[in-house]
Amino acid sequence: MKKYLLIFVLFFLLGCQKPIEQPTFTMETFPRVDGSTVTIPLSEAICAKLTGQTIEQVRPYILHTKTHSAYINLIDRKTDLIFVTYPSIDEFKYAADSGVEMEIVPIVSEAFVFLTHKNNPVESLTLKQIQEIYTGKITNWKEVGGPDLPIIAYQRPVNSGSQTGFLDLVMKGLTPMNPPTEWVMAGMGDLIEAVANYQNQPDSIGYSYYYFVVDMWGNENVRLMKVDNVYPSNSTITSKQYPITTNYYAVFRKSEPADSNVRKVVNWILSDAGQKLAEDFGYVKVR
Amino acid sequence: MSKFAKLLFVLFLLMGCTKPVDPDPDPDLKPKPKEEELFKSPQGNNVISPVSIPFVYGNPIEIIEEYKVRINTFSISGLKNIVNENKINAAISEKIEHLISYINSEKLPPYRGIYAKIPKETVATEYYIGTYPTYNFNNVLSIAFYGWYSFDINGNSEYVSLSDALNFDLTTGNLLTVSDLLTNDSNTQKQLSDQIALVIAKSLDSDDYFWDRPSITLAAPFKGIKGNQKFYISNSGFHFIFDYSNPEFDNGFMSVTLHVPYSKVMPYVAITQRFTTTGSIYEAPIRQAEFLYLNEAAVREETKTVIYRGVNVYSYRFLSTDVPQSYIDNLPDPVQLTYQMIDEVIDKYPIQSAYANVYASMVGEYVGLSTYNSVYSEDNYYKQWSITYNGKGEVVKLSDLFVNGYFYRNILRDEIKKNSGQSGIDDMEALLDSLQFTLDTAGISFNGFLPATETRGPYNIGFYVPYSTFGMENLTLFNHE
Repeated sequence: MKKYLLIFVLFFLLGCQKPIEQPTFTMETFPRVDGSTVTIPLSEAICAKLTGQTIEQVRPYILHTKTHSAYINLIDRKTDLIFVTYPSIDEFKYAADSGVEMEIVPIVSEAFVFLTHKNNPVESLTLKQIQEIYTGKITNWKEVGGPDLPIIAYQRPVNSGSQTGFLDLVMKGLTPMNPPTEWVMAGMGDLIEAVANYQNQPDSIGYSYYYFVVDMWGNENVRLMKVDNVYPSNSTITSKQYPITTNYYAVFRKSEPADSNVRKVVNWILSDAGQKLAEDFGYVKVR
Repeated sequence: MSKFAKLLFVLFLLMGCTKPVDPDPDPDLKPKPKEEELFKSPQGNNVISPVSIPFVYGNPIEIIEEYKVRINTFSISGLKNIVNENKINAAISEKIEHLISYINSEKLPPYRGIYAKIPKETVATEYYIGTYPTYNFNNVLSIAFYGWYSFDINGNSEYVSLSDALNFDLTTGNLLTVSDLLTNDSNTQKQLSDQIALVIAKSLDSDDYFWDRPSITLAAPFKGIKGNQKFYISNSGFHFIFDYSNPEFDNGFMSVTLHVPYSKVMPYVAITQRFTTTGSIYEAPIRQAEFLYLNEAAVREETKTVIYRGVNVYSYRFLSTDVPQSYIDNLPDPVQLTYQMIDEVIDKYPIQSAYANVYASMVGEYVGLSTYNSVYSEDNYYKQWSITYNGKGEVVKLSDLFVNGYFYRNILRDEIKKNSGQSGIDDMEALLDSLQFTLDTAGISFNGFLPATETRGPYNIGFYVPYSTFGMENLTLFNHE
């Protein structure tokens, strides 16, 4: 009997632990939110879920002004909760100069992935090989176990979000070689050279954020490459087994009271239900 | 273990651990396709690939334009079936009324974040609303609508713009859907979405403005067009409108329109055959025909600059990718001609710059090649050359364009007089004999030249004549003899 009682008590103490309760809000009580473009669908879904409305009903009220502007708005107290990438040195400095301490909570995971043609026999590259491809040290697929074909390594325009991620997460201080270019019409009769977009050929390699690739139209024609022999999937990104990962964060002022609506929202995002909602909208769970 | 303890244990398992009641009335927000977003069956004729489109007939309907302050609209007339005509005109009016209602911000469509910027009770201080036909051939009328609104918010202006479209089957007055655009045996969603995905991939993340890649911001991956996707048709392809109905796009309070050229989805383009009939549905006879832009507009050459005798010579080669290489190989080198022109002028006048341009393009089965050389000094001194080949690779002569017995020189004489302004033509017949031309989708580009005489310098003229000026029945292009 003692054995059963022990099990009974264990169930009582552990199994019946109360899950994080879903807070409820009206549009008036829901915190003022801002953030980057990539977190808009998450932001809309959270607001809809916690105010009991449809996405279409809340969409006209949710405005994300992009990452840097969102940080400025948070520090200037024009918004209360932002969904963004990690703050830059400048944003940290602006916060410190403004006497604001930020609390930075990872809420969903993200990864930087490399894509190639589905028929390319090379399945995996090491991070070092990727760096050497993009610095021009490795120029042929046969150097990484593939066919005797020159590697066409596409990049993104310098001012793009993907290129920033590429430089920060992959190149880590190394200077990439000049990217392939193409001639495009830039104005009345003007042809100018621009960074060529990824062309899905067997000799090509390109990159993107996982969120934009995994569910995009036409992705059956491309294959994501393993990095250090780990395939990028929801589970390997959540577990950080996949080596090139980052997060999107909920950021708010540390001075938010313990029972504030902002903290209630963030706690709920980290709950099972919150993480499930994020996954439903194409994001990768953070835990 | 007693029965009571077992019962208590099971009860706890079943009841004690259940989740608290979820206050959310809509527990599953996971995006799912709505019924109206599904693809319908194609209407009209059963069209099977491969489709060939030699040319299209203009619908002989009258477009009756109506201009009001800030609002431009039109109605149509000329259909035999008045019920269908009224149905179309009512739909145009209804769409315009809808756009007018957006003057009151409360009625604005659900653009992302719009009420965070423009409070609901605001009224537009400025607005322009309009509509225009974009494609009017082979019993299809495609119409684009636009609305532009300015709201004053605490002294700052917030702008909203909208694009919309209606596409009519003139035989019934019914509206087209995306499913009607391509052949019945094609996977319409895949064909079109593949092309849209390419345009998006080219455009993403680029702040620079390029003609072939509109500025796009995605908040989520593009997952294909929908069955109720907004679109309009033009003579170059299909134009898909992405706005608040496609929330994966994040383009502020405006829509973005992405173009799928016919060349990318040939031979599946069904729109020219989808609603054709054996008998005419119009009061008036068909008098107009045009080509569609079915060929690749992509360029395969570049610009370069060379310096000759201290003059910058800008060379620009615009060569459509589908013009066979044999034609490109036989193009004259325009740079040498520009050098000659510089030699002729440089000792008389200072030269600012010089140009040597080459063009090669296709219209229907016809290949058009042309060069344009110019030297900018005190005057713009230029020379043009052009030639047209038919599908057999034969040079097309001017007389080949017209049916026997048609006095086309009279029309051309009038056009030259119109385009020559005040300058009198001293030898009209010689100028007519010198005419060279290339074909466009809707008309012919002519260039003529008279050499210098003792009393004047060399004379160049360039002008454009729509096919409709000659009349469809007088052009062999549309009447293969």
